[in-house]
Amino acid sequence: MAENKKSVSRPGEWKPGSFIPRVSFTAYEHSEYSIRLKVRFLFYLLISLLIGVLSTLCMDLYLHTSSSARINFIGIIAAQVTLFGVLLICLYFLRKGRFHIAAHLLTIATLTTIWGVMFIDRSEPIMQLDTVILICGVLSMLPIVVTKKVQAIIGYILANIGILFLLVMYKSVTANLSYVVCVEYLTDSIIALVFIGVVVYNNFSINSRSIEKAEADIKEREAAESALRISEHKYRVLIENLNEATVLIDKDEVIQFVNKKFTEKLGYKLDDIIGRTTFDTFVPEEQKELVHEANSLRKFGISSQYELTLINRDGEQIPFLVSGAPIKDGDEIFSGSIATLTDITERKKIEDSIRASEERFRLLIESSPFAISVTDITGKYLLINTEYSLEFGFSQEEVIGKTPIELGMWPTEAQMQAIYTGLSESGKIEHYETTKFDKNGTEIPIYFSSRLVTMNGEPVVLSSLVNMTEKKKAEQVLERYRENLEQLVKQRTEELSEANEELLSINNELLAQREELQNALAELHLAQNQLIEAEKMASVGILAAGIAHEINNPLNFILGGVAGIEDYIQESMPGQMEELAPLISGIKMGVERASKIVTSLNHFSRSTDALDENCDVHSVIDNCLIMLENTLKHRVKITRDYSDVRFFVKGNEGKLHQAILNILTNANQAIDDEGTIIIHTLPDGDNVRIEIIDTGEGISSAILDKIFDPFFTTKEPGHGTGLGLSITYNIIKEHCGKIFVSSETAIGTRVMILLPLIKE
Amino acid sequence: MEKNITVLYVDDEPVNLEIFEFYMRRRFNLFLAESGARGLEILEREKDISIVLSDMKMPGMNGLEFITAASHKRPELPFFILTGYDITPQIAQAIQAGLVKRYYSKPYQMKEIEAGIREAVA
Repeated sequence: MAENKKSVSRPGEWKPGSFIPRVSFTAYEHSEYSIRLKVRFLFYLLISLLIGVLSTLCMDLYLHTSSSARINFIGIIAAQVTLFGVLLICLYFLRKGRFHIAAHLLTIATLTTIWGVMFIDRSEPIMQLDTVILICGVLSMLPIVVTKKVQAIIGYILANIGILFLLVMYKSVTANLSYVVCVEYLTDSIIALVFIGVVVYNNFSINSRSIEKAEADIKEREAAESALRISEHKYRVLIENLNEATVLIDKDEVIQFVNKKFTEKLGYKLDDIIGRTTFDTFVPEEQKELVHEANSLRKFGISSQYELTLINRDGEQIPFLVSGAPIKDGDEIFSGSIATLTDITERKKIEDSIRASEERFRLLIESSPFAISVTDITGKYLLINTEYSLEFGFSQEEVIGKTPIELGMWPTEAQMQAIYTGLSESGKIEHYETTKFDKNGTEIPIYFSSRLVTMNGEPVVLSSLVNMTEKKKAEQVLERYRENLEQLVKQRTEELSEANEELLSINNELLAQREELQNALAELHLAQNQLIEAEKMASVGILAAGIAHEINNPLNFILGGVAGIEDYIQESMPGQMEELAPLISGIKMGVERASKIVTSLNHFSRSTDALDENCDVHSVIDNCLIMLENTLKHRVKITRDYSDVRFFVKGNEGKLHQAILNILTNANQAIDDEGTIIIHTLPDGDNVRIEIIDTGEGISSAILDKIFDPFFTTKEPGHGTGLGLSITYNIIKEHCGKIFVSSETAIGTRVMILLPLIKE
Repeated sequence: MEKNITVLYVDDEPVNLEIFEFYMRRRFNLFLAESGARGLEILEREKDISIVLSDMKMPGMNGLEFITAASHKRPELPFFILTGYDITPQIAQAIQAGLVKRYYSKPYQMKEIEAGIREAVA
């Protein structure tokens, strides 16, 4: 039965070392610890009682069967069975979680049984009454039974005292107890019961208060712990997220903690650092003493800041500003220190650049060849450079905070006022000449410029000045030199202007000569080209003459031969003459034409320069046309509109031929497709006028005045020398003639030549 | 055909001589020479010669040189010059000097020469 009532035991529910065996009921899982202990006690008590009652019952039954000495056998058995049943009921209630009912029921049942036995007992009075001890024993169990209502204890005590009165009254009758004995018994018993009541009551209240106190303490502690946890979390988050690398070391300088920033900054892993001293890892050898010293000071509660260069995992050095402070434990005893490390690489750079900048500034100011001063707007010196000190004899310390007037550099304030007024108006002063007095009172002429600038938010005046003493002296010397020079220059100028005039006249002569030479050169150039052209023509002429002779002889054979044949036919067979006449005349015509060409070549080749020939103008033109016939044929129609009079001109036939040929050639070439060349000859006063008109493309007015220029050509390279018309012009001029050209684009060109006729 | 005129024709071209001969033989008595030197020989020998015609350009002595030489022998004779070239200043000069009576350009017309001979001799 007991085994069945046990619930499954849960590990850790009971503290090890508890004097009660580990048994638990599910119904009391959420009850107070004391209740659970009481349940446990009650359970074992009930089990013990049940075993006790059962053994007594068995023993009574055995005694009854072996002897019949007991009178009230049925009563005893019934009482024992009833008790057994009540105990089972208690056990039932206990298991159901009704501890109070079970406890009170057991108590009441036990008391009832004891009182019942005492009432029933008929043995010796002392035997009857001493059982009250058991009542006291049961009542001493009250602190376990009563859990909440303290009045129950009083109830129990008073009820038992009442029953005790009844018992004594009853026994005094049945056992014939004397009044004294009764009073004595009552008094003792009541005192015992009251004492038990008082003890139990106090015991109960002490227990309850202790529990209350303990619970309150626990709650308070829990709250404190919770607050501590929150606080710790807060600080941990704070430190973890701090932008500064943070490190916590114990009193032996062993690293306990580093934050995320620390590992980020220095690149070490937590395993590399935690549990090691700072010297093992990231503090460079030469700085260990510094760190150690700082950490030693922490023991005396001293916080400090110092700059430290640490080595990161990659071996690079990073400058940090370390802010360290000691940490104390709960007993105010030094337990280590905490330090934040601020990366000051940037700050260092800025500091360096500021330092460099200051250095530069100082260098610039100090190495300036000019005296430089910085004053505030009231004229008080803030700074002067060495040059300034040297110039005026005042040291830097002597001038700082004083005005030039106080130092006697300017005798009156008016001068300074003027300068500072000027400065405040325009912000600067340019090239101001004045004088200042040095420390010895010597007046020094100076030349200076100032600027109103802002330095550290304050308007200040930056001035640079030059000592003009030497310059002034030099100027005076120069002035003297200048006067001498002027005199000298004047003298020399006169000499020079005379020389210059001479030179000018020589120069003009030279210029004139040069011009002449240039003209001569140009003429020579032209003559050379004309010579080349003429030479070419002469060569053509010689060639033509040779050819002419060689052709003329065969032509002579033919013509002579035909004349012979004709003569023969007429003589021997005159009848055939008529029939053969066309053949003979054809041969004659052929010879005649060939002969004409050769003749014209001959004309062209006359190469004498003499202008003493009598030239037949018409014959010259005709000869030219014969030479051109090949290119003119069928394409260009030639209209000869000659005067009836024959014109003779004094000159060189070959040259005239050349001149006319050039014009005719141009006319021919001007005609692209088909056209006409009209040639007029007519008397014009003492001249013959030759007009050659073509219906060619014409010459644009833009170039019309250039056509007689040497080398001017409109023909493609290699097709014309540009000398043709130039030569023509010269030939006509040589013959005392004139040439005119008029032209209209797309209509044609008209060339008019006037040549003086031979006077009769 | 009157054969009372005797002509001496000097020309270095044999064809010219042949053709001249073919045409003129029935009109005049002819002596033909291939060079000036030959012409002078003939002139020396034949006293009947009434007129002399000479080509201008010949190897050895040219036409004018020949005529000059010939005119020394027979100054009364008329001399004609026949030339493949046009008239040259020398010829013009000879004409002006009266040494050469006429000049003809080649190719010449036989009829013109014939007429010229007749006219000169008449």
